[in-house]
Amino acid sequence: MAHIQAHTSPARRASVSAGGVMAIGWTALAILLSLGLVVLGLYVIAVRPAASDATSAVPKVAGGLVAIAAGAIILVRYSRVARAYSRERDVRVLRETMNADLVQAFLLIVLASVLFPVLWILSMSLDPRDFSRPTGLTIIPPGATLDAYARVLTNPSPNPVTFLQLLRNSLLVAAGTAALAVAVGTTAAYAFSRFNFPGRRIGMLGFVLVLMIPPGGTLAPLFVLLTAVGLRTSLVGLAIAYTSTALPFAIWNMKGFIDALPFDLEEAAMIDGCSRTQGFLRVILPLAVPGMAVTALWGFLTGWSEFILAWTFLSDPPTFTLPMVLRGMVGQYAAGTSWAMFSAMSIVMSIPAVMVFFFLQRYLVSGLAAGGVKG
Amino acid sequence: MAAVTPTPQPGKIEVGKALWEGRLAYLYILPAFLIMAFITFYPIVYQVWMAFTNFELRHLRLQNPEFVGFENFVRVLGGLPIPNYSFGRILVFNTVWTFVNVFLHVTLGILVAVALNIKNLPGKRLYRSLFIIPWALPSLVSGMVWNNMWHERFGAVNLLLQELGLPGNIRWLQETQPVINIPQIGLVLPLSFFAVLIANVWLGWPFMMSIATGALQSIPEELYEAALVDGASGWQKLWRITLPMIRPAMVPATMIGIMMTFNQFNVIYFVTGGGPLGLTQILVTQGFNLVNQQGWYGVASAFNLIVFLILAVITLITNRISRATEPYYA
Amino acid sequence: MNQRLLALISALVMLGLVLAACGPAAETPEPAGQGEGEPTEAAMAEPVTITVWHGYIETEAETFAAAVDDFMAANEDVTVELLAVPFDQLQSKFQTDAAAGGGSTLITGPQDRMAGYNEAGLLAQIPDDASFLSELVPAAVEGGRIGGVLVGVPLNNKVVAMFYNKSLVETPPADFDELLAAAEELGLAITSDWFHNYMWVSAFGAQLFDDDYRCVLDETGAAEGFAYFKTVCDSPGVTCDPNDGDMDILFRQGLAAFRFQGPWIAGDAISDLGEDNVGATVIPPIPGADYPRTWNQSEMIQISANASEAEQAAALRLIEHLTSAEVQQTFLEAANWIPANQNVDTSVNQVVGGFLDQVPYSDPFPVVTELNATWDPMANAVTQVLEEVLTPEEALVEACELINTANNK
Repeated sequence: MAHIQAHTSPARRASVSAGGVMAIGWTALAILLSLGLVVLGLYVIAVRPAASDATSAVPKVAGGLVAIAAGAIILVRYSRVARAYSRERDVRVLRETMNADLVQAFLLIVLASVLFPVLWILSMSLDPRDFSRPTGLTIIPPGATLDAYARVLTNPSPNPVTFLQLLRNSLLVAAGTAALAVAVGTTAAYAFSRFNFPGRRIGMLGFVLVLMIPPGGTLAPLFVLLTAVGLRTSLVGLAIAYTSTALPFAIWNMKGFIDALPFDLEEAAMIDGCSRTQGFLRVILPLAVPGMAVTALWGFLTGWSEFILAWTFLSDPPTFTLPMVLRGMVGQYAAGTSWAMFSAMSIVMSIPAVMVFFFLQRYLVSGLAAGGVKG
Repeated sequence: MAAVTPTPQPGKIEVGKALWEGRLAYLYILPAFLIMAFITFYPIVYQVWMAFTNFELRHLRLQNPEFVGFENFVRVLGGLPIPNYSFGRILVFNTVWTFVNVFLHVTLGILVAVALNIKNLPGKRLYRSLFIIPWALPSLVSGMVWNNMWHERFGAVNLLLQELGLPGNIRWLQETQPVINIPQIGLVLPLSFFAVLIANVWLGWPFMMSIATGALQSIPEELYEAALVDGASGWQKLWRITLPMIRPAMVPATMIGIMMTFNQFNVIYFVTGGGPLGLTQILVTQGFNLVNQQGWYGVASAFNLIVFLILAVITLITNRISRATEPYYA
Repeated sequence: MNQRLLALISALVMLGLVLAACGPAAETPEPAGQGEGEPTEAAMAEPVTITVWHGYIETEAETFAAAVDDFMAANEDVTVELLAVPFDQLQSKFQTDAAAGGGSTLITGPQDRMAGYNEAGLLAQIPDDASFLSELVPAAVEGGRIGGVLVGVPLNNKVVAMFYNKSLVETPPADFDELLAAAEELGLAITSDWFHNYMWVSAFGAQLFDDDYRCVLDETGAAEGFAYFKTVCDSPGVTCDPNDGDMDILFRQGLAAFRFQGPWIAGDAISDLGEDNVGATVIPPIPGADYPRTWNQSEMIQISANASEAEQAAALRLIEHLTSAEVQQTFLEAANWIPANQNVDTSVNQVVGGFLDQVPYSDPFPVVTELNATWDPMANAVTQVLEEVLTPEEALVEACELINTANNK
């Protein structure tokens, strides 16, 4: 670290010393804390519970080791900094270390809060007790078993439907919704963005207004409509119903996105002899990939976790979707389902969604038509 | 970005070609329009019609419902014969819910994004990928898990409190004694409000963090260097440079956040179910109950229309506010 | 350009044609309304598929499925498809589906839901001269009649009584004070909803409805009953919670030695605690008042009005099988059902015997749609009383007001 001796005014020097006091205090505290951690870690390892249950001894030993390691690292870091301070009497080293570590501490706390529910549900899914509820807070419950996962994969529902069928149906519906939303939404958004035609303003307004209508009440009319077309009890009908809620957002998002793309590129293409459609296909579409990714994600997630319409429309067990079964595992009348099974099902159901999410993650920020964010 | 009022498009074709282009435009629109006409507009028109009738479950089959004019709307606003129903209180709660949530989302998101933007921060990539998890989990799952965690006897939160030696039998979701009680303006907040607030903040802030992260990348480095030369402190850099520069991105994101939180069905429905004695009921969950439990389609449609009007007003207001500040940073 | 336009238009037209072609040729079978059978006796020979929607879980669901399998083995021309729907969604699913012309052929459920289905015109009439009816308990059969028309057949009788854990409790308590004293150490689990807590009303001489089906809880003194209910919940060792499943778990785990519940969990309790440890008996009388009288209802099976003649005939045969003495005996032993069939020997099952003891201290469900409007307001009132948000008098006045307004009384 290059210590630039800045020429500071007396006022700044005063504030430096106030902050400096904090930094010195912090350093001292950190050194004490690290010593304490090392001692704690040694204690935890030494005074192990007599029980030979691996699932409680292993975390304790691991925890002790982590405490010792963390204590040692902090000790080394701060003693080095303290030595630097005692040599040069410049509090800035201390302050930088303090600030950096405060930021880390903050991030670690946030991380803990983010991971707490995830770890909890993982832990519950490994719980071997059949019908009962967890009584303690352990990451790996005593007697952990993958039994719940096995049951979820082999017999998820009292109705005759296998897990693979559920997975397939969910994937079909979600992917179908995503594809429809992207295809239809992008073309419509392009027209709204690039063309000026009678009814444009009303149409745009209509799409936006529809975005704001609460989804609950469309159940009855959708039911009647899809029954009339004969698609109601099929997954296709369900995908169509989901698309109807996903489309307004898709169009709104894509329009904003296409708006931000400069017209010069298409203009250049058209001068070169491309038709409008070709301009759309060859120039706009590749550039619109982030927006389409976001739209696809939105449609996928809508189709992946919806169950109200699904339970109302579908009656044939081989067509059921994952969230329907998940819904049947909680609530008043599902006393027979252990929380382990519910947790296992939640995790299994979340994995594909999270995977798709991570896959499309890099497009997320640029794909949201938030003005000012550069792609 | 102006969602409601279209701005003039770059590169407009001359008037002579307008009609031809119009035909092509209609073609592009056609698939979307056809599909939406059937599956989005038709149900809405149907709903609008239902709102003026006494449509109930039996009308799906037996007889044609009767036209009742504005009676449903009056009943929705005045009082329906279901327990704990008060439109005013639900509306106030919904508004408070929305703004408290969005405020916390944006604040936490920006703080974390700024922290993660620090140069050479150890663990930056790890943090970034892990922090996405609450956003990536389906909200159905998150809602159910948090409901599970707030359970009085076996929930993770109470168990954690017990481990820490604190009283660990807090009835998060059942306690009816309000924490904040101002019935005059309809503000009654029980403990379960805070429970579901924490749950929703948990799953909502990563979205704001991502937007802020993206916006932070576009802030030119020179600004910070200039500030350093001028002797700016960390705080001042945050207030005077960072926040104003990410505002053009955060404002639309906040608007999206407001709309999504206002209608956040999954979290409320699964974590509190409307809360003890309907105290954490928001408009959309109440509307859903009207359909699912009572089967009062007509009344529910009137309810939905009113909610839509409210949301439209809120959108217009926030639109005005955001556009009023746009030229400032153009 | 023109050719491109033409190509686009023809593509769209093709798409439209394809959609139109796909529409009516819906692959997934509509359960009702597509049965082939001719409207005469030929239905016996033609293969028929019928569907049954039910809300059973665990033991009940297994026993039911086994009985249906036996039926299919004996009747090769009938295929029965079962669908287990979460109990709280079963009613709305059937109502919406059947109202639109679909839905299952048969549906099971408690009597109060039957009234709602009937009013919506969703139920088919069951012939009065069906042979199996003579074997069933007459009062139960009458419970399936609405407005003189028979629309449902009872499968079993249900009444809420007191379960007790025999390994913890030697002799069941003789009156409620004794019960509370025992519960201090051993635990008592009560579900604090309306269904389980009607009994306080009747113990103190109050009534739910008058002859006009107006709610009269506030006028007939039910407040006293609810006040007593509150003191019970406040007693040490007593847990009152609206989550039915959680309260069942307390009993099944042995944490609560007493439980007010219906016979449907007996099978699960036995598999958790062991057959010798599960007993059932009458809910003890309250000193200074009467015996608490719980709801008495039958689990009904109904036939959808959308079913074709062949399907109805097949459905009647299935009902005949399910109400036959042998099948009812299986249900008695495996799922602890109180049989609707008179010719079943109930002495083999002590648990069921205990429930039969409770029957004289039970009030039948009023099978009217007005009952439907009571569930929410009364559950709310129970919460308000237990949480001390309102006094019992105030809570009941509010609830009755809501109920009567909803019922247009």
